[in-house]
Amino acid sequence: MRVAVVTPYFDEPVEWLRRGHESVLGQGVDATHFLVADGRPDATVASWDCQHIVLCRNHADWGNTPRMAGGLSAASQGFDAVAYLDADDWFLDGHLASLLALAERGEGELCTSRRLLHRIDGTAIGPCTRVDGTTTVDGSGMLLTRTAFAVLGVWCLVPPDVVRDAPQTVLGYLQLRRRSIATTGRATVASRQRSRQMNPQMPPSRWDGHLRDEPPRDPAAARRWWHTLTIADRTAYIRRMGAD
Amino acid sequence: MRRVAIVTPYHGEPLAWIAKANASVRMQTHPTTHILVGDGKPEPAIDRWDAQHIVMPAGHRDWGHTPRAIGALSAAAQGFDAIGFLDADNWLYPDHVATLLALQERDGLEVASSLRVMHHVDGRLLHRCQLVDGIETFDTNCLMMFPPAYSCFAVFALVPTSVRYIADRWVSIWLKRRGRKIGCTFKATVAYRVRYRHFYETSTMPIPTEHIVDLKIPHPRELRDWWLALPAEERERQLRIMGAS
Repeated sequence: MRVAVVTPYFDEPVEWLRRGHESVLGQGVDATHFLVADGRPDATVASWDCQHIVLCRNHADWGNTPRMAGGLSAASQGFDAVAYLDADDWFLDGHLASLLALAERGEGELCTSRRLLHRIDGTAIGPCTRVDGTTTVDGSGMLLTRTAFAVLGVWCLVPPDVVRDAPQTVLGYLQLRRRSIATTGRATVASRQRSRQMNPQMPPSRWDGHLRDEPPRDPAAARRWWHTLTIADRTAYIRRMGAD
Repeated sequence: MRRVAIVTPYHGEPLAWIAKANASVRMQTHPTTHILVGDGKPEPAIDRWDAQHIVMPAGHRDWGHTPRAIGALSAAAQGFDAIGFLDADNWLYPDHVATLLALQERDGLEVASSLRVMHHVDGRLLHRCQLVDGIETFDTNCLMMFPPAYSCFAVFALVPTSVRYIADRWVSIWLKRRGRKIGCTFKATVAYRVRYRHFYETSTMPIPTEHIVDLKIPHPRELRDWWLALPAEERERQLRIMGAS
């Protein structure tokens, strides 16, 4: 299977992007890296062995529009699967192979992994207990196969209240449209945490400018928000996303 | 005031044609944002225009359907209230957007369509289009989508490769199957520059020597026959990919 890995980026350090890019190239599978600049294209990135898409402006939607652009371009070019990798994350050895094995056995139209949390300087914290790959997902741990490609545009149609954690809405769409979901159960994605809360007592470093004040995302929050909506609002959102 | 975007994919058309399309968007009586998507052959001059510009490294060779989908979904993410299309070789009449918005508001539509006027490849006016009726047959240039129809944008890029050149027909089928409310202004507000050799061959006009395309748009019956000739499981798979199943 030919896999496209889509990475949106905006102002992340090129060292982070390179680490992610090298982890894609080192997966040992037929993978092409799509790097999508969300308003700030980087000339170094453009010179890499990748497809480099440039969006003229920053969409300020946490990378959702670039994920859409890379995914639809890959689908149109005939790729068999689309995976994602956030600009601050990297794949651990065997990540794509383990997801593809699930897909090739026909177990999931969406295949997921779990993740290993890291501090902003790249040192390990430990396994994430909030993302289980089935009821909650992380963007960097998702691989979509062709029969799930209808969801590729949904990244741009996520309700504004939950746009920061769009993977949960993408998961919800696939559940509503009865696509199968399978997880390896293994933590094969390294997720760099940029919240100050996840980086306590760090000595001053060159990464300080990339720390964020807001707490880390709670992947279950999107589902809780959904259940606060009226039936009419839910129906409107479902229709807008094409999940009706 | 409602925010409107018009999306134009381009790939190698003369810059003067693209500039004419851009000017026709800027001159709409309802203020409209133009989103241009370079599909493998970006024009640096466009960066300086009053427009948004997306650059795709790979030419998708699918008659602009993938860049069209990407530009439209970018507009959706930016919160535009209505999104239409314009091919790089065509242009809009000044009241195109305003008449579509008025119709949508009056009838509570989710998709509004106009009619089109045929122009020679050199730009001169020919006649009103006899094919596009805005009810059974659409042209992408004539369509304007409203938020409940935005989910159809991805379909442009997901249509089976061998029939991608008529993706607009698949999109209209998808919209009807999914019960989106569609209406037509019955006003010809799109100027359509005809580039098909077949069109000139079946007229009394000489065949132009430049910018001509050798593509014959099939009759809807041919598309139906192609579809029905596929094995049932392949039809189901393609419907599933497009989100129509």
